[in-house]
Order: sequence, then structure tokens, then C-alpha cells
Amino acid sequence: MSQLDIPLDQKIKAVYLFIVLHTMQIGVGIAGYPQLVFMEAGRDSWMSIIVAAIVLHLTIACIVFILNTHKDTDLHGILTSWFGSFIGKLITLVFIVYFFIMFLSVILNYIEFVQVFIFPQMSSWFISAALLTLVLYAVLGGIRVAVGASIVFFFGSIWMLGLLTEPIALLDYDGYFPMFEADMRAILEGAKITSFTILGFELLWFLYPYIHDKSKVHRYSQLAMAFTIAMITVITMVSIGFYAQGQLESKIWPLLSMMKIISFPMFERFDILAVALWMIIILPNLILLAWMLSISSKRVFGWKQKYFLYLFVLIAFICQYHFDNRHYVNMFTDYVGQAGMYLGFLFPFLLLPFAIYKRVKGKKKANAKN
Amino acid sequence: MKRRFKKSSYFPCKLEQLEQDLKKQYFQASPDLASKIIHHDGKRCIVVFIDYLVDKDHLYDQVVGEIQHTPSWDHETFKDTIPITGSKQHTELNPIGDELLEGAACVYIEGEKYCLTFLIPRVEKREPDRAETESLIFGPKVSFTESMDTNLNLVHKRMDTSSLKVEKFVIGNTVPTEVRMVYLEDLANEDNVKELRDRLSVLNVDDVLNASTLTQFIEDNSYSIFPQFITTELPDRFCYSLKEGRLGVLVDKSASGVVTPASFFSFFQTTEDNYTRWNMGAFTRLLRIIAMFISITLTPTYVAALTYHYEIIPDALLVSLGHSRTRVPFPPLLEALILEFLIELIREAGARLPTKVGQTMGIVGGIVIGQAVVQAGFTSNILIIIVALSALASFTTPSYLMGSAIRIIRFPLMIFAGLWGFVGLVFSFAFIAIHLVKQRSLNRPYFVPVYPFQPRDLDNSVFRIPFLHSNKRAYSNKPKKIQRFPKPKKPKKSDIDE
Repeated sequence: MSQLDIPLDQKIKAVYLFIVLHTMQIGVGIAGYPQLVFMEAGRDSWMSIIVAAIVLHLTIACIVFILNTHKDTDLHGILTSWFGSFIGKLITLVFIVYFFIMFLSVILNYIEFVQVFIFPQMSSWFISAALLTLVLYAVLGGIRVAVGASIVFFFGSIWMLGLLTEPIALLDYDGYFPMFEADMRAILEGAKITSFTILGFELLWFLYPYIHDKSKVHRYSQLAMAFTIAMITVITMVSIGFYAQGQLESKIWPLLSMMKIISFPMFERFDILAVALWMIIILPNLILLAWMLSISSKRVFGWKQKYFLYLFVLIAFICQYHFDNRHYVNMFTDYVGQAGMYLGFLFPFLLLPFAIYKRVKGKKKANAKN
Repeated sequence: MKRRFKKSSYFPCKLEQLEQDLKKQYFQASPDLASKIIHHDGKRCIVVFIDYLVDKDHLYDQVVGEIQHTPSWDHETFKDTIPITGSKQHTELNPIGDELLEGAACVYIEGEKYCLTFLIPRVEKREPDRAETESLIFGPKVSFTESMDTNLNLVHKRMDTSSLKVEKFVIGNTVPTEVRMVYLEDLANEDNVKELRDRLSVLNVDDVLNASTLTQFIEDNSYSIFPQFITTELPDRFCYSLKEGRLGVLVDKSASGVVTPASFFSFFQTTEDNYTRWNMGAFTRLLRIIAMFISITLTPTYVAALTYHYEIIPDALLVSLGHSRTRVPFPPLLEALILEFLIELIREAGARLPTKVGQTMGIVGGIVIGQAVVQAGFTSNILIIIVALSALASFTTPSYLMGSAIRIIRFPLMIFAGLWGFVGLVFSFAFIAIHLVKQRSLNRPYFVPVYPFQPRDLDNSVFRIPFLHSNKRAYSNKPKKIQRFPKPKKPKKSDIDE
């Protein structure tokens, strides 16, 4: 029951974790993140990022440690074998709800992007229908297609980072000084904001049994985290240096606003394309989340994964229709952030003592046998 | 009829009787059953054959001629004197009819207990000719023909090795067709071989028309627009793929070979990339991939930009664009659709018409209509450039099927771009990307080396580097031997003048 028996041809290489976890973390949040962190920690946002990074790397180490205690099973399997089927199902359900709200908030945020930047009149149900079609099409192909699509979309969007050279050339280095202005509280608040942005790594809980070479899981997950941290550091620092005093606070999406100045000889305003292209940045989020939702529901309730996928897509479509305004978008995003603090960062450490206990006990058993 | 079932053996019988029976029972409708009766020493012998199925030279020289020159007449002697390998004895009438249909001549001396058949089929075949659809500038130009013998010969001549294995299948209920699966035993992956063998032997259809029809029966996803198996008419390309560890299929009466498993990017390769120097090969290979991308994106981007996103067009260009579009009464989507449709019309007409007329038609269509369309205010000048460019780009794809797929994909893309601008365009690209990731070819991933990400394969698929450094076969085919040759040792680094 708790051990998952996954055929080899459905397993993926650990290297892909690097891209999958990274794409899970980077989504709609990154566009607005520099403003949020700047509001809290000011010029010293980099210190907030460092604090968040340390916590993040520890958390990942903790998650991998727990997962390695049991080979070949996901969070549901671990909880079931430790605390029994009821608790296992309950906590998995909590994760399902949490991931579903995350799923919804990604869709709502993207709809807002499109409506603000390109088509104010475009109806939101249409955008969500388009996104959900793609999600459905990809997840129906299974884990390999879900991961594959993420990788293709990662390559399809990562080059945009290179466009930051244009704002980098215009940086005003005075913007970074004086350093160490923010007090401890502000930095911690900033770190909290940062942790909202880098949520998504929790997917590792559910992806783990599908990894082919488990010994490399730790290495590539940590690398993915490091890459994400590096990316948001660069984006934040460029935003701080690029915007004049007092400007950054007033930009809701500093990253997209920055892209306004990028132009090519044949292409004057890049931000229009960037907003459309943001679709392929958030699609990996949606696809992997939908995959996780459907597979975990199958683990909990035991029906076919297909039916759950249709169900979640349908519910998401209906919910999107109901919660389509700025108020709800903010509310959902906040919920996800708050829940993520506990489910993402605190939860692994709560499980850690049990994992250590299991390992010690397992060792004793092994010794007794010898 | 009755007689045949009563007696265990049909023979001996009268010559006229034999001829009559054959005619009656098998060839009622056919006036082409010919016969010749030869007399010698009071014995009579008949040679029966179907006029258009036997090789006349063989018939007269080696069958009739030998019979006339043989002094003693009996079947045993005939078997020795007639120098044809495929001779058979028959005591029944039934199999004789079948043999005759395959191109045999039936020989019978009156009074003997059995009848002899000699297989001398006439095979109409053309000599291997220059390739028409996949033309090479620098590489070998010979192409497959419709004859299985010739094709196998062409393949064998190119790969003179005992590891070349040829497996025979006969597919088709109404018209059985010979299909051969060809692969190099010490390279081809066993799973692939097994999979293809299974697919071919399970196949239950009435008729395999052609190699490309066969592919449609055995490919992984019949609904996709993208071809999953490479169909090529070049033995050169066929053999090159086998040497990479892929499998080939040859179909009788079909002038093309099928290669599998194929990846998306392998449709943009030619063997010529390997024959030219590496820098040129790399350049042309990249050029084709970029051309494919341009061909798909250019017109939809025009439509999206002019319908919704004027702000992305630079000022200087916007002026001339607006100027040339002032007289056009249609929305950009309709304008682009009309023009793309026109180009497709010219292409299709050029393909259907006889060669000489086709060329004229192309010129008339291209220049006259193109000019007139702009002057009449149907489209803008710039769109003509864009559409022509993307049509041109789509023809750089070496595989005809892939080229057509790319041209057709443009239409839905244009419509999406026209309806929802860049959002629609990115949506369709995402859809195509997911589709490509989902696609498989002989159960192997199709979008390799992007996913599964194989950086080691890039030198074999997207780029091309000097052979000294790319001494490995593509990993994605999972060949038994990865290494083609040991990497040469690096010369010791010495000072400039030493």
C-alpha cells in the first residue's frame, strides 16, 4: 500500500528535478516580487533573500532526508506507514487543497496580467479555458509528458533572462547604498515575502517516487533551489538599481515594467510579447500541480486518475469564474503564502524527529539481525 | 471438375485436355493463356504459360529451345537440361494454375505421371534513377525503384556486411505484398526490432498500397499531423540511418524506404550535412531549423501585430506598413489567409500540372497575380514578402511530409493569432510543444534531444561538429554500440616552431 510500484519507463531522471522544481518555484510571483520585498527590506533585500535561501536549503535537505528514509514512496505513503491511513489521507488532503488553491491563484494572476497589459476586454473565462485545455492535454500524457512539457517551456522562456542586460546597462549603482539600513525585523519580513515566492518545491514530496536515480535527488534539488535563489537575486537587484528612488514601490510588476524598455530593431515593445510568453512560464506550474492533484487524489480515494484530472480542471474553471476579481486574487495569493509557510517550511521539520527515530530503529533492527 | 476430385492424381492426361482444363478452371476470362505443342520422335510435349507474365527470352531460349534440342524426352532429363532454378513437379491441377499466375511455364509430355513448372517471371523494372523529391547537390543521387530486388541490392551494395539482417513479412489479405524489415544486427536496439516486428506481423489489412501507407498503419499516433517515420527515396539516407542503429522497412512495388524510430529533428537532416565540411553542414542544418521556425511564426506574428499590437512595430516601419495597408479593406487575418491560400494554390497547381506548364504557371501565378493583388488593394506589399518568405522557408525541409505539415500548421496558427493576438499565438505554440513531447516514434521519444534532454546528442541532431569529435552514434536510438570509432589521441602540444 505505502510502497509505490512504478514501472521503469514511467520514471524520470533526477537531472530533470533541477528544471522541474525550478519552474515550479518561478511563476507569476516573480513579476511582482521585487516590489514586495523592497517595501519591506528596502535596499537590503538581498539580506532577506539570503535568510530565505538558508531556510530553503535546510528545508530541502530535511525533505530529502525524510524521503530517503523510505525508498519509493511519496508523502502519502510515508504518513500512512507512520501514523496510519487516516492521518495519511487527511494530511494529503490538506496538501491537495493547498495545491489546488495555488493552482487557482496562478490562473487568476495570469488572467490579471493579460487583462492589464494586453487585452483589458478579454474575458477571463476564455483565458482560463485556454490554460486548462493545455493543462489537460499535457497531464493526460502522464508524468513524462508533464515533466517534458516543463522542460520544453523552461528552455522556451529562460532566454528572457538574457534580455535583462539592457536594464543592467542602465543601472544606477547609487541605488544600492547605503547598505545595512534595514533592521532585523524588516529583513525577516522580507524573508517571509521571499519565502512566498519560492514556494512550489513541496512538489518534491510527491515527485520523489518517480525519480529513477534516487541518490542524485538531493544534489539536483539543492541545485534547483540555488538557481532559483540566484535568479530572484539578480531580478531584485536589477530592479532596485534600475528604478529611481520611490519608483519601485509604485510598480506592481516591476519585472514586466522593466521589459518595456527592451526593444529590437523589428520589435519595439517587448513587454507585450513577454506577457503573452508568461503563459509558458506558468504552464509548468499548472501542469505539474494538476498532475500532483490528480495522482494524489487517486492515492487517497482510489478512483481513476483521469476522472480526478477532469474533476479538478472543471472545478478550477468554475472557481475561476466565481473569484474573478482583484480582491479574491489577493486573498488567494495570501492564503497560499500563509499556508505555504506552514506546509512548505514548517511541516518537514515537524516530520524530521519521526524520520530520525525510524532510521535509528531501522539501524538497531539491522544490528540485531547481524 | 469432377474428374479432379475423384482421382488422386490428375495425370496422365491428353495435352488438349490439360490445356482445356487449365483454361476452363482458372482462366475463364483470360484470353492470354498461351500454349505451344512440340513434336519429337512421336512424342508430344506442351508448354503452357501466360503470355504477359513470363520472360519471353527465357521461354524461347531456355525452355522451348532446350526441349527441342534434347534428344531423349522424359521429365527427368528435362529437369537436368533446362537451366532454370525454380522447377517444381505437380500431380494436381490446382497448384499449376497458381504457378502460372506467378509467371511460370508449365511443361508436360503426354503420358507422364506428373507435370513440370519452371519459374520464369517477367519483371518490369526501371533502372535506379536520380531522386526526384529529395534532391541532393553533393551526395549520391540514386533513388530507390519500385522493385524489391533492386532496392535490396542497392542497400546491400552500400552495406557489405554480414550483420545486415533482412526479415520477410507478407502483408495484405486481398493483395499480399512483400515487406522487408532491414537492420544491422550488431547496432539496432533489440526492443526496437521486437516492437517493429510485432507491429508488422500483427498488421491485418487488405492491402498495403505503398511504403507511406504502411507507415500510416504502423505509426504510433495516426491523428498527429507530424510524420513519425521517415519516408525516404534515397538509399543513401536509408543506409545512413541503419548505420545509426535505426531500422528500415522496404515495401515491394514502392519506391521509398521507411526509417524508424525518427525524432522531430531528424526530419531536418540530410546526409549532405555529413558530406560537406562540418561548418557548412552545421550552418545548413541550423538554417533549416530556423527556416522552419520562421515559416511557422512570420505570418501569424504579422497578423497578431497588425490586429492588436501596433505598439510593437517600430515607428519607421509602421509608416510604410500603414501606407501599404491603407488601400486594403480587409482585416489582417483575412488578408493573410487569402494570400497564404493563394500561395498554396500556386504550389498545388504547379505540382499537378505537367512539368513545363507547371513552371510557367508558377511564374504567372507568382509574379502576375502577386503584382495584381497588391495593385488591386487586396493585400499589402509587406505581407507578400512575408508570405513568400515563409513559403520559401517551408520548402527547405528535406522531408516532404514534414514540409507539408509545417505549411498546414500555419493556418490554425494564423487564425489563433488573428483572434487573440500574441496570447493565441503563444497558446498554439505551447500546444504544439506539448504535442511534440507527447509524440512517440516506435515507442521512443520524438522530441529528443530536447526532451528527454540529451546534450550529447546535439552534435548529431541540431548541430554538426567535426567527426573526430563526434565519434558516437545518437544515444536516443539506443544502439548496441554507441561508439563509432575510438577517439584519436590528441597530438602532443608543442611550441610554435619546433
